[in-house]
Amino acid sequence: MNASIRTLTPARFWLWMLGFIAFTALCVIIAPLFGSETINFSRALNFSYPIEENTDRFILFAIRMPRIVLALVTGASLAMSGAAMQALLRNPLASPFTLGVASGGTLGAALMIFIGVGATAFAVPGTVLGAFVVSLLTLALVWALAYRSGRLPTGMLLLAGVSVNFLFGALVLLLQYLSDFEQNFALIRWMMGSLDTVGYDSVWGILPVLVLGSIALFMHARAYNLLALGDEAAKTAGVNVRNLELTGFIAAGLLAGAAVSQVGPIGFVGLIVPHAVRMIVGPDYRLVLPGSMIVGAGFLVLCDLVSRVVLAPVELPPGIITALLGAPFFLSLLRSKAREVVV
Amino acid sequence: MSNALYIASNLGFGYRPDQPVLDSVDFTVSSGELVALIGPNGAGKSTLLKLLVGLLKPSSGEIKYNGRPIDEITPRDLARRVAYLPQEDEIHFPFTVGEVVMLGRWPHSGGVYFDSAVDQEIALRSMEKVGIADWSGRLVTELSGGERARVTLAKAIATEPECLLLDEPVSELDLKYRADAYSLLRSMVESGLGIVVVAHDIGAVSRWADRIVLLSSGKVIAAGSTDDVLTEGNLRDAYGVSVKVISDGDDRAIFAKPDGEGDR
Repeated sequence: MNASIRTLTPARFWLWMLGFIAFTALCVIIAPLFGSETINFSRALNFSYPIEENTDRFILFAIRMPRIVLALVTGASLAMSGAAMQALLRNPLASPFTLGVASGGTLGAALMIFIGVGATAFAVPGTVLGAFVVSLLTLALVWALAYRSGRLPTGMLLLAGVSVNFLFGALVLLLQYLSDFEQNFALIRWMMGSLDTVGYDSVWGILPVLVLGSIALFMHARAYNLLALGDEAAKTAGVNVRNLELTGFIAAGLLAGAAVSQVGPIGFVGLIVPHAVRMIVGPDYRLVLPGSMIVGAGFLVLCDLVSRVVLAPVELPPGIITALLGAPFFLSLLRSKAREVVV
Repeated sequence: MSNALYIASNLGFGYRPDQPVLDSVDFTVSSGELVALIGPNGAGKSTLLKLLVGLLKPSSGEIKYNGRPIDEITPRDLARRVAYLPQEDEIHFPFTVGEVVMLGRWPHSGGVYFDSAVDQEIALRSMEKVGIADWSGRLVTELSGGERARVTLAKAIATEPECLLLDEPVSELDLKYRADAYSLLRSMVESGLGIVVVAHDIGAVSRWADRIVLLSSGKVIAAGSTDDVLTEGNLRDAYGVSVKVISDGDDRAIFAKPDGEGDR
């Protein structure tokens, strides 16, 4: 006789979260220790010289740390955006890029590179601005295409997203064809994604969205559970499904758009991290959403570390590593736990 | 003492203006009664439930709950009072049975992040009533259709509603669980709930229901006691097939005669 229900209590919630935080903290501690240059840590942490004369300190604090923080906020944004997309589309195969945010961002960046807009107001790079604006316009376009008399059928959303992905992919190819050698190189590098950064400008481009987006999504985590039982079940339980979907898609879209515009379309994080978390904690979005945020952050730091050291001094684009590292891990998890195989 | 929960009058509804699904339908449910909604496929039974629960808006007529038009009741407030079980359940992620039944508490505690001990207690009691108390760790995605039907019934009961609207809750259940489910509904009615059941097993329904409403082509053909509604004439008009009703005390068996056999 098993007369109890596995409920979500604060104790159980924090136990999982502390476990996830420990993983991410470990990644953050290990990551700065490695890189193409070997640094002397006692020198780096010696604050008696000015930073201009202390190369070790410069590398640690002006190059490695900003990069780690950028990987943290990017991974957190992409993974949480993916978890939200899976909840909203009721489809475990959805990712932050399913509805065209990445292809829209790429088109925006490609346009800026093609026109030759280097920097815009407040020193925001043209590619960042272009990618962010077009990625959000894409989400609005997909939404408008799928919207039918007060409803947002998920099948229509997926089809509209896939079609827009193809359309924008073709437009990007067209721009590439018309571009010169240098523009082409810039665009290809952008599409591979990069966490290369000096200082915290890119972090500030993502962090506010991450804070606001996560609040918006956490507030509705329990309602997303009801959404998994279907529209009608959610509506007749008193959930305002339209508002839930509206805030959810805006939050998930902004999260993905902000991340893509700063670092390029780094794939896979937003698909596999929510899955991995769900396999560990179960499908309850009250655990999956914050869990994805924390694990996604650590996962991208880890992938970035691998990308910096595996062929050092050559750095690989992080998107290659997320897939190379993520896919085998994901497949082994999939085979060891049949729980989640309900696609 | 029973008081009216739902009073729907002169309801009309159609997905297209020229094809009405429901046409001037009057319908009431009171607390302490079990109303069976029967009729052929496409008669508008599910549509009527969806109108009552606010999933669809009527094109004409009015629906009142506890004397108030349902448009004036917030969805959350209505959800606390009325639990609705759709005909087809969806489940997109591998929740456990316990987690699904706990979601029945959402109308009461939706704004809270964590589950309360009170809600857990109520969910457990609902599972006991349906006879699935030891299923809480099973995955709903691994259950059969009939087993899932019992889980969703437990979820609806966990809401502790005044009124239950059930769209074919027993059609996937076997003989034993069907009888169990009906006797559970009966006991809830005795404790004051108003229940509407859409059903195709007319014979069984006649034993358990206080009142039967026969719907055909969007119109109420007959409503009232079992004896008044389940006549061979009414059923032939509704279903378009000759039927034979055999009564044995409270029990009835209803047979449809294939075309050509005629009335004998």
